[in-house]
Amino acid sequence: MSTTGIIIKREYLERVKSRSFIIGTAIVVIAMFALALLPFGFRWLGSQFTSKVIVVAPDSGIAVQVAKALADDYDVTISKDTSTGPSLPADVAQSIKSKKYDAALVAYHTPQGLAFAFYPRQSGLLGKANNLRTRLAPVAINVDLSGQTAQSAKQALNFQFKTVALNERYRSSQQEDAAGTLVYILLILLYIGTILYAVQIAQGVIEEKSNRVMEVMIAAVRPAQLLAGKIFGIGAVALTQMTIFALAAAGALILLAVVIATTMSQADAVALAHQAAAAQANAPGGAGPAAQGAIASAVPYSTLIYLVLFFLLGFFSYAALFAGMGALCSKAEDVQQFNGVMMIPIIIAYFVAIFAVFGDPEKPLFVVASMIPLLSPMVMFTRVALSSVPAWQIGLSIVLSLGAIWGLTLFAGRLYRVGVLMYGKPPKLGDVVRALRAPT
Amino acid sequence: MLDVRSIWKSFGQTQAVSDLSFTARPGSVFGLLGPNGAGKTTTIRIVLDILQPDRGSVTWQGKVVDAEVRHTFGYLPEERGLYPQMKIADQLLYFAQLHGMTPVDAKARIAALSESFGLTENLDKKPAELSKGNQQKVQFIAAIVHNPPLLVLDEPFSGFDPINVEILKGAIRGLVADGTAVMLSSHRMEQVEELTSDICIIDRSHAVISGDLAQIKRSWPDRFIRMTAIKDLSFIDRFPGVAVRPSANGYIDLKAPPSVAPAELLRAAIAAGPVDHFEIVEPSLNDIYLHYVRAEEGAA
Repeated sequence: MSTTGIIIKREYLERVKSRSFIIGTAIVVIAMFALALLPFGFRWLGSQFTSKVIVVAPDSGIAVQVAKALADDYDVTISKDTSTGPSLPADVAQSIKSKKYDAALVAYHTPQGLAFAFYPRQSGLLGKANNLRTRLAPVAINVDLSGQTAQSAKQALNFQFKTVALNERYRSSQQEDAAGTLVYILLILLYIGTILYAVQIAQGVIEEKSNRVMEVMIAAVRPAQLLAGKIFGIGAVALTQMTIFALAAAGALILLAVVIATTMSQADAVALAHQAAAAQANAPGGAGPAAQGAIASAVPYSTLIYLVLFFLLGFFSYAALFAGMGALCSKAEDVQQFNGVMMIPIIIAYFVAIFAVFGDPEKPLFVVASMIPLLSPMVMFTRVALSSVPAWQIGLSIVLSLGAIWGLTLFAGRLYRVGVLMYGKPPKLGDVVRALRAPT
Repeated sequence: MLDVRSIWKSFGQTQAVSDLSFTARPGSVFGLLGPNGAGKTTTIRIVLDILQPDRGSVTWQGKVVDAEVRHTFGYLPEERGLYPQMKIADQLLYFAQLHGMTPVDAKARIAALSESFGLTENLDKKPAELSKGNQQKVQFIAAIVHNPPLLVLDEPFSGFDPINVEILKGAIRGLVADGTAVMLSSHRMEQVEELTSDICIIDRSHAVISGDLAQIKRSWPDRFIRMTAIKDLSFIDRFPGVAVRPSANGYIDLKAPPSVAPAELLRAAIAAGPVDHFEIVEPSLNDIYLHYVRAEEGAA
């Protein structure tokens, strides 16, 4: 094994075997399972604040079926109006505007079968669309099969369901909003992950300096090898932990699917199974079909791939910075003052990305930010997850990031070479500049 | 042979090493001696290719010392440390592998070395569970685990208790007998006197004397005399330049300049009182050190 390989191996194994890693990982995994089951707790809580939905249907038979299907989760009222198309009768619209109801659901016939239009009053209700669609599946199957507008349950399952904005201020597509929530959660992961592991690198360097192992190490290996060992070793730890978390998340979703299936009524379960089967057609892989469907519908695969890619780009950019900084400090306390400064780009990137999530990610500000190294991992991830970004922009952003990683690592290597033997007071900026200019 | 030729090194305004040359031969111990801050550690770092000299060269067996060559050296730094969370056996294996040993060879060597240092039961422990002395031994083993042809020891005895100093000296003698070249630095002359065959004393970045220690002692101009401490020492006043200082076990030590014949001193001493011990001794390394380092300070 090469010298760098030996160092990477030690950095990796010592961390992965450590009690703090095992306990920390276990806590997050347990939390994931707890969170997966939390919605059931919330549903109980949520029943105290049931949304009021008014149903408009072509005939009273369908209206009753819809009302029944939604009765568990919503406070349903059947409108005296009947529908001929997706449009909202004026008086129903008025009653929603006056906050008598929270949303309207219009069922209507199309040549392809029964279809639905959902009119939520506020954006907070957009999240209900998924739940509504699942709940309405049995109704659509029932009506379409009995009305001969569909040959099979599977065909009937592809019923139309659209969300219509009553307010200009929020986006009408429920899919986009769900993606926004998801991206927000993934951004937090990206932010915490980057900080967590970059700080670990700085601490690892300080640790070696403060207990003077560094003295022995620099005689045996080159500073560049030490630096590479630290960055790749801790990078591998980060990937290991992320993989464990991803597997745990998948496991939690399977559990969630199982719980849903066992607590749901027969018709719902059939509908979910069909939905899952339909989803599986687009999603290759081998996990249980229900879980597969659940994951595929919740997270597009490309988003996950981008998450890993941009995490790695972010990690390596900041890793080099933090390693160089760690090399300049001799005690753990010295790091604190540098940490604050180093955090600034991460925090800026995080907030820019958050604004992109809740605004329009294609605004020039965000497009520019998604090209700037150190900011780009988070901002570009947000853009690719929420809108369609031209391939050349993604490519350019990645290339710029890689270039920055290369430059920052060279810079860190230089800091490392002069820094590893500096002890005592944390150096002033002038000392650092002078040290960098010196030949060695 | 380690050949250091006329190396210079400065840090900003501070001159750390000026025109320093010395050699360290296989099967002998070279001592780099000097007060704190004289430039010993900087010199060692240059030898180990951790720092680059501004001028001058360092070669080992005729080859310029680079990462490849330096890799084979053993180094015990003055500031020592082990990974606190790593078992002793794992650390030693790690250091051995970093120096290019295969795990199989390394394990056999670690077993043999820990046996000879009486550390076998401690291999599964972490550094914090070991006594200070045992930690020091582990550190020394880490420096020699890969059979280095050149062993560099920076203040090797600092922090060791007397028993462990003797154990360490024994180990160094063993390595030297096997043909290892040893270079050590110290500011404690009495600890290294019996080990070193060649010395270089440096003070404020300059070499003040260097060469074969036995030869330096033989050609030393002053005579050092150890004699019975008689009551009446007034005879000494008749010999200008003779200094006297008390010694242990009822002796006094005299330092006589070349102009004073020891036989004259002896005659005068016998006239002054009963002398049953009178011996011309070689200057100690400490005498030599004090002569140069003090003189420098006086001049400054």
